[in-house]
Amino acid sequence: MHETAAEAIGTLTARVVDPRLRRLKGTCRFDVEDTGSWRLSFDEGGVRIAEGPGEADCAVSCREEDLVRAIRGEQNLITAFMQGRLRIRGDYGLFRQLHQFLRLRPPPATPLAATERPVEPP
Amino acid sequence: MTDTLSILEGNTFVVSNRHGDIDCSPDEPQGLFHQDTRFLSRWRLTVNGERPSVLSTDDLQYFSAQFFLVPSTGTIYVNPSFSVIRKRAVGGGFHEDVTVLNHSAEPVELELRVEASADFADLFEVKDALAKKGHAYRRIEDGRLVLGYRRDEFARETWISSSAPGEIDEDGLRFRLRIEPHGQWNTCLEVVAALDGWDETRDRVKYGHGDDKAKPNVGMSLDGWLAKAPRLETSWRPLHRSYTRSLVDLAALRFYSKLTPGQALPAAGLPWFMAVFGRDSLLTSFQSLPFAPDLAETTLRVLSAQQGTIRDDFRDEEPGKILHEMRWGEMTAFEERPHSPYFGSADTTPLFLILLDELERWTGNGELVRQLEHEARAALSWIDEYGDRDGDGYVEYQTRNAKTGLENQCWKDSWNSILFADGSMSRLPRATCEIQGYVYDAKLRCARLARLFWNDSALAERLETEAAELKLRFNRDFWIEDRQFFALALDGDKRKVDSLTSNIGHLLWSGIADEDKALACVRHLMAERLFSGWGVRTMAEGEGGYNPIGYHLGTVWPHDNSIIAWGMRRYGYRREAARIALAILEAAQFFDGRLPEAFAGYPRALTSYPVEYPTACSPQAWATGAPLLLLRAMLGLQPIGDQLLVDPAIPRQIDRLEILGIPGRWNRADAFGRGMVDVAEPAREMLH
Repeated sequence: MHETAAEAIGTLTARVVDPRLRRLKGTCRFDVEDTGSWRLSFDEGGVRIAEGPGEADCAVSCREEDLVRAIRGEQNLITAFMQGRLRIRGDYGLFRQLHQFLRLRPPPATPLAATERPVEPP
Repeated sequence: MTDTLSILEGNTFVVSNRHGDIDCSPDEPQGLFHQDTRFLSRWRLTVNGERPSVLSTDDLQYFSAQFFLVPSTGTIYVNPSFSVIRKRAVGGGFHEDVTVLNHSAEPVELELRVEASADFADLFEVKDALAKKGHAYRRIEDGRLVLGYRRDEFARETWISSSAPGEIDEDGLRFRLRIEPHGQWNTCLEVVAALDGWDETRDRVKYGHGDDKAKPNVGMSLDGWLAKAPRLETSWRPLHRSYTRSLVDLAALRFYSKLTPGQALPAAGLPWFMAVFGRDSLLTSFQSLPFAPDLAETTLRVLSAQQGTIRDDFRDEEPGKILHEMRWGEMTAFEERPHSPYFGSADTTPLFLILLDELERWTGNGELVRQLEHEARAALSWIDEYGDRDGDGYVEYQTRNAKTGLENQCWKDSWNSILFADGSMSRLPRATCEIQGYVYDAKLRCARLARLFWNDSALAERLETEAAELKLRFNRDFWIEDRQFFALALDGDKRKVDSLTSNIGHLLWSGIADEDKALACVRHLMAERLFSGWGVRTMAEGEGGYNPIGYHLGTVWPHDNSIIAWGMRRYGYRREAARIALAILEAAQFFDGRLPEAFAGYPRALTSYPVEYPTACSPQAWATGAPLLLLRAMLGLQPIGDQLLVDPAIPRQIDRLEILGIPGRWNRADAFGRGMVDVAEPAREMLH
């Protein structure tokens, strides 16, 4: 089970092929308190991950614990936001789609280090 | 008829008494509400310790109001020496201009006090009178009073300030005034929903001092919205009032959800239902199509964007299902309520499909039908895979969330609405009759869409076959031969729930009823047990559960009646449709043109006016939409290809009815009709 933000984000690289995510396009940045930033660039279910700050359509600020729980599926992303555990700037529509992405992806695989790692389309 | 006055913008609204004060007990729905939370629960203005009396109150626009107050002199022989004018506009909180006028030839010294407090109650807590779990705080900083609440990371704050210098304490503001003879004193009061969980801290409200031409939060001014709507011409003056009121309220009830940016859709109603409500938004959009077709497109887009994706029992979510309700308050945030969003309705999914087809018929927006093909197919799959829980060919419902899920997931969603004729409760899961009608209609409509837009004739044929089989099955299984009407529902034991209810009218809209059975239903709908004289009751007089002031057990719901009237037109019952339309529009006059959600089912002969239901929402979206669908029913408006068919059946009382500039695939068209129908005289086929 992944325990750090880097490990948790590393599990997101699996491509999710689902027509419900066909409009998921854009870049989300996670700014994790005292830990670091990661950018997730989505395009039709595929995701490219880059570590570090940079331009994003939607920025999500949170604590590491909350991010890990959300990626594990233990915390609904929308209610985490409602509780004030996540702060969002930018495109709320993209945040909603990120929520759907997390719910639709298969169960987390073996954690991988989250570095620049494009996922090739099948 | 009401002691409160409401102004709103999006899901921010103020409900006050006619003094302009918010002076509520914990379970009273007065206050400044924003994002489903009460940001102000007390706001009370006094002068020299006394509350002034109300001279008059006006809601200028749906987002602004003013209150004229004078001190009580106790006698008509003494003129008030001063008056107070409060002018308020809502948006991100509210702005209030307070003016005190000295009418005397002497200077006057007064102490003006505004008491303020906030309980930050979630709307669910207001409704159910529940206690808070976090802690409240107050502080004075930077010339403002801050009222706050915190529970873990969940924080909400209201900031209160004034333009005129005053004394601030933790309970409000105090101003010591000296006003010269015939002079005046002014201050602006700003009440800001400063921390609401969304953006950065908001430090001012939307409208400033004297912002009379403020633009409402709907992308265009109210004048522009009204100018875009078709023009009504009629010799029956009360209809003007209802029509304008409906258009204004429809504009007022629109709001944006930030999760689906840039798109406004109708909320369900004030004060309890300023939220995305699948059923209400869909039906209101359907009612409004000839007048404001943009609402339908945004409703479909917003609901499809939040369509169910997985099975989530807490939220009654299933893949392809269309949501019931979305909320933003504390109880939803902490998952003490499932509304993030909640999917507990069994009729929203077929209604979504019905609206998609109807929108294309009116506007020719085939691109939207193509864009939403996947969502429509997912909705069709939901009907068969999840909606029909036990494979009996009918959509039935039972919540999987026993603690906070909804007992009844049809439009009559109160806990005791589905009763047998002897008044006893039916068992879950329940398949109510109107939902089967919606499914039948949705399948036939999607067959058309599959042929024309999705290039899938196999799907079209399958849907037509399934619809035909459903109609056959339904007319056999739901029909109560000895009472000659359709059962309200089949319950968990597959027993026919045999109360006579208004639900049978929805079957006419759907077209699922056989012709002979439709005639029998229309007779019931127009007979005294169901038809009160002001409209069709939700349940017939004489049934075990009947109660003229029972929420779904005998009250008259305008939206219900509009659907029934439109259904009657489908089956050719023109006179009966006209009679219902006239009755509801006559009732509207007693509510100043604004129909409430429901009114009491007392016989018209007993009460000379329709009696308002005690806790009804007003304005309420589908009640607002009811006059619009009734206009459509009276004029018989139907899109046929690229033409608008007009087939009037108008009561004599209305004499002349014209709607000019109806938008649609024909660009703009006019519809005319004369009042030729004598609604007092029953048609021969109506006589048993």
